[in-house]
Amino acid sequence: MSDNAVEARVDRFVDAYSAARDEIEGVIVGQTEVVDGVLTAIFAAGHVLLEGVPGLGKTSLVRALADVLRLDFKRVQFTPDLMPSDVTGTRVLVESSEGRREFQFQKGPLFANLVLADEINRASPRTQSSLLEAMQERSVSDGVTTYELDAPFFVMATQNPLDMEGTYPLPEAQLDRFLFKLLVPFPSAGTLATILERTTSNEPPHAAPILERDAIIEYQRLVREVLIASPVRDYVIRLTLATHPHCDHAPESVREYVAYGASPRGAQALELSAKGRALMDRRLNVDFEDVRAVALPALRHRVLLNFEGSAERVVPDTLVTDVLESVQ
Amino acid sequence: MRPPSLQTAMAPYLRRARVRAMSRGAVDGILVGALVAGAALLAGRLLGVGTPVAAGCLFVCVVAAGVLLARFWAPDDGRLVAALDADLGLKARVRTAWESEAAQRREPVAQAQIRDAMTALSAKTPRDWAPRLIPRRAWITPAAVALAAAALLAPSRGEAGPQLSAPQREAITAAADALSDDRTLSARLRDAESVDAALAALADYEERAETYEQRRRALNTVRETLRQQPDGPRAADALESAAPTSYPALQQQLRDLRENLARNATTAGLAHALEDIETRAVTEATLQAIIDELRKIEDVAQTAPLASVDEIRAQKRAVALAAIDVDVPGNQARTDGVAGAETGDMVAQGSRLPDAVAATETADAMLLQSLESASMRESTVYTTTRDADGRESTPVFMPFREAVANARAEIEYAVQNDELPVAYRDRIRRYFDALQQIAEEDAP
Repeated sequence: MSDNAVEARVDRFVDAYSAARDEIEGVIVGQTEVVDGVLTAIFAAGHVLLEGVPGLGKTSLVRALADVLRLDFKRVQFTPDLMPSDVTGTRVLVESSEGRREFQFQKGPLFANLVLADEINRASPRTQSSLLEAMQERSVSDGVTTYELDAPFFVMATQNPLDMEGTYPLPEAQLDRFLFKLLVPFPSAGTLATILERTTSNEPPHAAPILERDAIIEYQRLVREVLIASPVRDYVIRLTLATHPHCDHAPESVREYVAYGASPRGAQALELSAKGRALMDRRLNVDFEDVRAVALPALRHRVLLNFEGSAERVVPDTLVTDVLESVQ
Repeated sequence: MRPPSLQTAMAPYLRRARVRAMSRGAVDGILVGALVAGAALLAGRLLGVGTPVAAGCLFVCVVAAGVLLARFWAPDDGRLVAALDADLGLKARVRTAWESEAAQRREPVAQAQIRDAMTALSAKTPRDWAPRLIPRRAWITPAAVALAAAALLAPSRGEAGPQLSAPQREAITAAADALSDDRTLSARLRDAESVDAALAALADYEERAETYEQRRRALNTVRETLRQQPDGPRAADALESAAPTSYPALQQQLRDLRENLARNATTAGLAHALEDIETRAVTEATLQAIIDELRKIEDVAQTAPLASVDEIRAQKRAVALAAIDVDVPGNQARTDGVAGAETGDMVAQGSRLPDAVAATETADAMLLQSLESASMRESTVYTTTRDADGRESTPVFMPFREAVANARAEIEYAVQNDELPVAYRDRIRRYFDALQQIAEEDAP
């Protein structure tokens, strides 16, 4: 391998990333931060939970992403009566050509590269939990056999923070498996005008395919190769520990309103997504600023409020911001 | 040609970093030294402990300590490299590459990252990395400057009060010598930095002596009234042990005591204890209260001050006169009371000044008496008056209010005719205003 092979890989990554972002932004207007977050999660091989009120383009964003990635895409609309087998698949009795009857596993929509779990909090906890194994182990078990999912595998889930009646908030174990929780903001007036212009004509915008499956896997590998210096890793550790109320470095707000802080998986998410962000900046090393930039989406859903926090309606983003300010 | 290693590229930066660390140590030393030396100077000027030389030595020592600490406790290369990244905005590139080299990592990504770090570093020069001379503990700079300014601007201990002139110092020293039997008073006088301080010390001692003499007079009166020998048993014991044969006789005896006390001497406690005997029969409780008061008087009378009231007053007068700073033979005096400060036409007649001071002291004593007991306002006082020619009469008893009015009229005359030193006018006015107010309040 020549001396500049790595630099060439980095260049290809940055070009592909920029092209993918441009394509998605051709469809989804004014959500640059969310698009960046989703792409960072893709290259860090993580799952994303998108939260926003209806009509902000969460589903359209995932559809555009699927178009750009040229991956096998499945969408599951989560409803209260959705069963786990509706997601993972089930064993059905089939008759072979020889006339023998046998059980055969019928794969569910989870067997895709990119799965959109739309309105995930509307399904029962049992159905939500059916995603756990797939999200962490990248495999599905039917009780007898374990089926490996094709790489890459991403779950993009959406949920609506309003209209909470009849919903089942995601359990902590489920939330922890999402690399990022991205908040989709309401667009500004200018952005809204552009959205109307693009979506009310006869030719709705369409994203062109940019990334192949193998390229995505290669870029995911490259992200993991990015180096991190010990002071930066120490910073990641200190940030993670500071989300715990009993930690010495925890700010006062965390001590007061947090029951449990981020898990080691949270530290992994911080470092991995910071690596992806460093690579986007054509750097092969992580900087403190990269960690700070991904701290909110990586930690906000991992901070579990206590009773006082819930009663005071404390926003986790405030707590993570306090942590960022207190940890130097 | 082999490309230069990261260590080679970093060498000038690390050298500069070590110099920077020592510079910061020196600056820290200078600022902390300025704080310490400023505190020492301030203490020297305000409290008289420490000298500028000692402050200078402290400053030099602290600066040297700062440099030495920075030299021997210099941050390791890893911290210096991290600081280099932070200061030059290299986004942890050099620190990461430095760790890769230290760990001898040979992976393509590590090598590429080292190349990236060197490229970023080559875009800078060591001159871009200016040592930061002001430490981040920025509060120390204004604190040091403020302390140094305070040390320079604060008045020195000798300058804190008005300076004593030679005659004033001489008078105070003479008073200290004359009253040297009492070591506390003598030391207080010698330490006095102003005439006021010396007068205050003398006034305190005078009050103590007056109290003693008052008690002694009261005790003598008690002994005379009870017909006791001076070297006999204590009056209280005698009164307690004497078995009264007749309470009316005892009541008459105590009534005589009250009248004699009112004429010759008084003490507030005893006067209060004797108040009831006019209207009521003598009870055991009344008798016990009188005996208790007598015991107190006897206790006080046993702790005599080491100088008489007259002697103390003489010294007080001498010090007060020295404050006027007489410098013209023939009884002419400057009246500002401050050495070397001319006040133009404020010239007083020196021969009248002792009288003015004496009048002040009389007023002072009367005020003390009046404040001591409300019943005294209704009683008589033993004092002198002046006739139309200014001649002083022999002391006579007169009502308290009348004595105040006489003294006030006399002092008003002295004030209007510039016979009082300027420094004493306000003080005297205050005395008489207070007395007048008391007299008006008590007027029917």
